[in-house]
Amino acid sequence: MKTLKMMINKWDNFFFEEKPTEGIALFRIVWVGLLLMYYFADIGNIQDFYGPHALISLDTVREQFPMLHANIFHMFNISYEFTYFVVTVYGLSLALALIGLFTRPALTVVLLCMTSLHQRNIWLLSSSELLMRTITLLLIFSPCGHSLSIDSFLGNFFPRFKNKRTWSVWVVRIIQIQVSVIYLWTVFHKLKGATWLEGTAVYYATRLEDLTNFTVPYLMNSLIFLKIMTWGTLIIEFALGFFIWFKKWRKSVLILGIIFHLGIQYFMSIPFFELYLIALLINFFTPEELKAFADKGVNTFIQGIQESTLGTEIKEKIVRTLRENHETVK
Amino acid sequence: MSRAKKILVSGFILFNLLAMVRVHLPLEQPLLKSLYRPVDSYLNFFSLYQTWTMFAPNPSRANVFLTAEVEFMDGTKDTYKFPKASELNMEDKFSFGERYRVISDVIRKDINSFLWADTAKFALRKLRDSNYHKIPLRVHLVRHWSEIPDVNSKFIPHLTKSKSYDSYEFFTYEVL
Repeated sequence: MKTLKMMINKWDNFFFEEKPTEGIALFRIVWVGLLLMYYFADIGNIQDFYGPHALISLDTVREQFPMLHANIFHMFNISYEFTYFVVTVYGLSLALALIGLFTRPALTVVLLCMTSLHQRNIWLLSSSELLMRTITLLLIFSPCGHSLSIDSFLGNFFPRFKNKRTWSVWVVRIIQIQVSVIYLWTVFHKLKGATWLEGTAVYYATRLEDLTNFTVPYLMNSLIFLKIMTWGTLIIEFALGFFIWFKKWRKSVLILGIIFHLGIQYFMSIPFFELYLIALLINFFTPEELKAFADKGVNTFIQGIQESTLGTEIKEKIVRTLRENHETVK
Repeated sequence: MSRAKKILVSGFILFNLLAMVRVHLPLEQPLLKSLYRPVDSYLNFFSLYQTWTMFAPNPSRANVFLTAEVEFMDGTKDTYKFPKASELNMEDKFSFGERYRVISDVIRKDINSFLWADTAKFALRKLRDSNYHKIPLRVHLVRHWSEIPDVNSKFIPHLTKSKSYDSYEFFTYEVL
């Protein structure tokens, strides 16, 4: 009974501790910013991947996924007008989620449009898109629009926009566990492969022509360096999945992880996946650390307004509103 | 947060934890299968099955691309080459190169033969403008691959492009 009570207390402390909302709000901005980048990169693909004459027909998709599927294309006769409508709504919702206006409804629409477009042609997709769906779904349940958002600014004037500035961190905890699971599963699967154990996996991966990006003369042709990279990958990925949970190593592992992903992005052409993982690592900074970072940003913004050429009255009004809004955060 | 809300949220947390490991647990017993049924419905609905097998257990050892050869009634032929990421600039790689890399790898496999007719029709549409006055008879889908040799037998310098590819025609679509 005592052990059970202790376990419940630990669960409570881990998932339901009250923290400032700036951390998750900052993550929302970075995450939705990356989703917008992906959106603009994808916008030219409507004809080939999503429209009525796309590579894979909607009939094939319907045959392969007869079960209940989050895909609004299943419900309508596909046309270019409807496809462009979905893409436009998706873009507008992303913009709203980025600035934090009607954040939760906007994110819900983002998820619906994103999942529909993804499931319109699921065979095109890789881990990047899986991460997009998984994390956006979780973000809907978080109060990521309670800070650093138009919603929070409007809270100064309209009671319906007023929200709590602290919250229990359970969504961030699920995201952290999710990130950890990604690294640990990938290490587990890699340890089953001979090339990872003998140290040649990075050699073969960097010889896949469609995945190459830039090189570093000499190093990328040194088998010793490639072996160190192979084993280093296993060690870093394991550290990102396991040692990141220990306060003592957290910051070092985070820095190592960011360098690791930037390194992969330099050598290999894997669009967005590395950027998404770097963004996800933000969640391992404590909400207090992220709040301090956000405070710095808000103060710089206020200073910028004070130094601007706007009229004194307008400046004072904006700065006062921002300060009031910001002080409620503290 | 109220006690009732905490219990509800805890259930949702557990549900998500189960969803994260679902693919990795070979649960064949009927009881466990029924336990997982709601998780499966959720994962199916959003396509959230997680494998995270990037370059695992081993990275692929082949450079691959697809072409579609169209035969016309007047005896002429034309070939559509599906975009190959390594031949694209950085912007196009981000925009669609990676997608074509992934789907080419999917289409070439026999297990995904249900995608072949659509792929042939797509190639036909791509070649329609340059052959608008011709009547197509059939489309042949061809996979091309170049294996990366064992590192101990031959070391390939970084950024070297394969010079020779093996080819195999794996599907013919009769247009008429």
